Formats: sequence, C-alpha cells, structure tokens
Amino acid sequence: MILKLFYALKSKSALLDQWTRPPVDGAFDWRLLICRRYGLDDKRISAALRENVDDAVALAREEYERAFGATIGTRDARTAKWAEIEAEIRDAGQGDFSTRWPGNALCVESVHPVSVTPGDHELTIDAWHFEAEGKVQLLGPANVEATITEHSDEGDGRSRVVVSATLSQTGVYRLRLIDSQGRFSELPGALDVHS
Amino acid sequence: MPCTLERLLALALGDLPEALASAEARERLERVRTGLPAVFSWVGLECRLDADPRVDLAGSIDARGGGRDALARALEGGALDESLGPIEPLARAWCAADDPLHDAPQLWVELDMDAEAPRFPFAFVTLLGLSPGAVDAAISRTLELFGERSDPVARCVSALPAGSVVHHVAALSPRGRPGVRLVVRAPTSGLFEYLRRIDWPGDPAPLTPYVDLLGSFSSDMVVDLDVVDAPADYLGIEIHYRSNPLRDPRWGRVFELVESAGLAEPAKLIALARYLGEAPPGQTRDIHLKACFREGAWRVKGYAGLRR
Repeated sequence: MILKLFYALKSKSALLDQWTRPPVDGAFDWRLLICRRYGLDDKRISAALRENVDDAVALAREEYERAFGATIGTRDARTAKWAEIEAEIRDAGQGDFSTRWPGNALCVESVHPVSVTPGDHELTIDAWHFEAEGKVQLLGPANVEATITEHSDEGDGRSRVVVSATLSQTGVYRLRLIDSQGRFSELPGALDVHS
Repeated sequence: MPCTLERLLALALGDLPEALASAEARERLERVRTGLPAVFSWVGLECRLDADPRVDLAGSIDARGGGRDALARALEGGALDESLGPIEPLARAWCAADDPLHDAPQLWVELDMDAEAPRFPFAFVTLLGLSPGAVDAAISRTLELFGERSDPVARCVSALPAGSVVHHVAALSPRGRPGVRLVVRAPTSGLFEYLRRIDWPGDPAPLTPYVDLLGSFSSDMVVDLDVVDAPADYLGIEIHYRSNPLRDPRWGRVFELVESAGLAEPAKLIALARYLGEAPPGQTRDIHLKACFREGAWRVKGYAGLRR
C-alpha cells in the first residue's frame, strides 16, 4: 500500500535533487543562495567550491568588495553581512558531516539516464566515497561490467562517475558499486533497458 | 554560520508535517530553552513512527564552521554549567586543544522530551575521520569523563570485524543509566558472528529481515550497541540514504518492511518522505530511520533533520 502512496506523491518531488545535493554543472547551486541574493556570481563560486573552499571564499569576497565598495575587516554592517556569506560558503563546502549517517560509507545515490534502449550507453552516477579504482556493475537480465571513463571527486566525499556499458538485454538492472576493499553499495531498479 | 538550537528548531518545526508532530508535541518543543549559544549546525526531530506522539530533539555542533569556537568562548564565560549539566565536562574537554577529544569533528546533544522539564542533554562524540589510535583515545577519554569502565567497551571494539568503523560514542549516565552507547559501521555479513563473539544477550533471529534487506543494498550497516558490564539486550539499526525516498526504491523497501510489521503508521512514513522531498530552496534536509530492538521487541523512529 505504501508504495502506491509514494507513486501518488512522486510528481511533487521533481526538483528535490537540486535542494539536497550539489548541482550538476551549470545548474543553480541552492547551497549558495545567499551569493545570488547579493548579486555575486554564484555559478563561478559554485565551480570554485568544487575545487577548494578557500578559493570559493576568496572569489566571493573579491566580488563582494567590488560590488559594495566594502573593505572587509571594518566593524560595519557590510563586514557582518560578509561574515554570513562566508559562513554559508564554508558550510556548503565543509564536507560530509551534514548528517550522522552513514558517515564516510560508500553509497550510490543515483544514475542518469534511468531508461534506455539496448545498445552502448554512457551513464552518469552520483555516489559518496567511491574511488576511481572501484568497479561498476549492472546486474539483472545479464550482468554487465561497466567501464569507468570519468571520475571526479568533489572533495567532500561526493563522487561523480561516468561509465560506458553495453546493454543488450532488456529488463530492469540493479546498479552496484564496489570499492577497492570489496565493499559494495547497490541501487535496485536503477536502470530500465527496454525495446 | 552556527545558530541556536531554538532557531534551528523553529525552522524545522515550521515545515514538519502534522502527522509527525502532534500539536502537543509541537508546543512542548516550542517551549524548549536550552540556554546554549549559537553553536549548532544541525537539528534533528526524533519522531516515533508508531502511535506514540513523542518527539525528541537532537542538535549537532561542528568543530569546523565556528560552532566549537563559539562553544569554547561561552564556556570560558562559565555561563553554561546549568544548560549542559552532566555533559559540561565533555564539552570542555572537546574544546580544549590538548585533549584527546579535540580531534573529534562533531558533538551532538539530545534532549528527551518525555519529562515535564526536558532532561539535560545527552551527548555523542563523533569519531568519523579519526585514525584508529585517535578513536581509541577519544573513547577512553569519554569513559574516563563519565566514570565508566573501559574493559567491556574495549572488548566490544576490539572484537569488531575487519573493516568496521566506530562512528560515535556516548555515555548513558546523563539519561540516568549506566553504560556506554557505541555506534559502529560493520560489514553486514559479519554482524551475527560479531554479536555471538561479544555474547550479545538478545535473540538474533528477529534481526534477519533487516540484515537481509539492508545487506542486499550495502556491504556495511550501522548499528548501535549499549555496553554496561557486558553488551546489553539492545541493538539499534540505523538506516539512511541521502536520496529522495519518493524516488529511491531502497527507501520504499525499508518503509514497506517496517509498515508491514506494524511498526510504523503509513501516514508518518509518508510525512517523513515528504519532509525531505518537498524541502524549499536553500534548505538542506535529511531523514533517517532507526529500528530499535530491545528485550525482544522492535520500535522504529524517524529523524527529520535540518542543516543550517
């Protein structure tokens, strides 16, 4: 019964991922809402944040000082506001302590696309604590070992992985990530291959 | 930027579905005054998923981001003894640069709301990211601060299967009970053997549906153990995926398991899913479930979290 109710609710959650995880390239980074509010270039700051939180802060500060003619360090309202902006950026970049669970465990989060026709495909996978040396498998009507073609480490435990896989048999596949120590994380019903 | 727990609580309560917190529970939470300064980065509302209307409160203070510095400044002022009660020495130790607890990235407190006046906080030290030596030192220091025996805990830690990690440790004495709670991540395949090795006194058979289901999704699982002179008859299973429960079939299967066992009301599960799935822009929310097995019976709690 409860699964039926979930289906009824699904349409209301279309934008959820934007709110709970870092954005895909070019999309608005909701974690940096405060930057947009002050007219700072949130896309550049978001890109910098992927590399290094200090660089992101330095970039934002430069923009803030230019935009408001403020000199950070004085005891004025602008400095206080800057402190708030800096804290938000550092908060967004501070790593994987946002929740108690599951800590630094390997965990697959999502795959895109979720529906394909048989053939060669490139899949983008979001995961936590997954190294480039790991393995990606699609398990189902046929078991397929995917090849990792790109792996980016977001620096806070998040990983984005691009894999290529040849999927010739139709059906629903589970996605399994395996790390170099043999630990795995699996997403059931991850990919529908249909004719 | 860290906030007061009251401020975070108001934000979380603002959007918490009614099914998860009755008007009475909400009122009780709104009356909370911890007396703690703006040191918190996360708040969690611990909701029973059966008919029990109780909602407890948790909050975390991060070492990074200024939370611990703000706590240290407040402690220097000596103004927190009444607020922190029995965990005040732990907080002081965490703030002291030369203390073994100082490496811990996070401290989180819980307030049980079942008494007329909420009890003083109960605190966990987060050990994630520490070296094995630093984890041992932090556990020993926690035990020392609360006057707990180290041997039974050391035995449970040293018996953990290879690849396990101790996530958190807390003394139970602020809750009026002796002992220590350990939260560990361990290989799912080794869990039953581990429980046997440490002479866990519970019946492991009822754990099987959870271990089988979670074990199909991951090689590891996170469990809570209470240790007094020996492991107590309690096991908590922590269940968390960061993804949207309305989309991720793992959540659906877990919800189905607890609902079909009569441990959770469907309306509460759906409310928990919607709390995450319908977060407004700019808010980072999380949810997790905890299945608690004590004295032969299961109870399930849901946590609705909000990150500043």
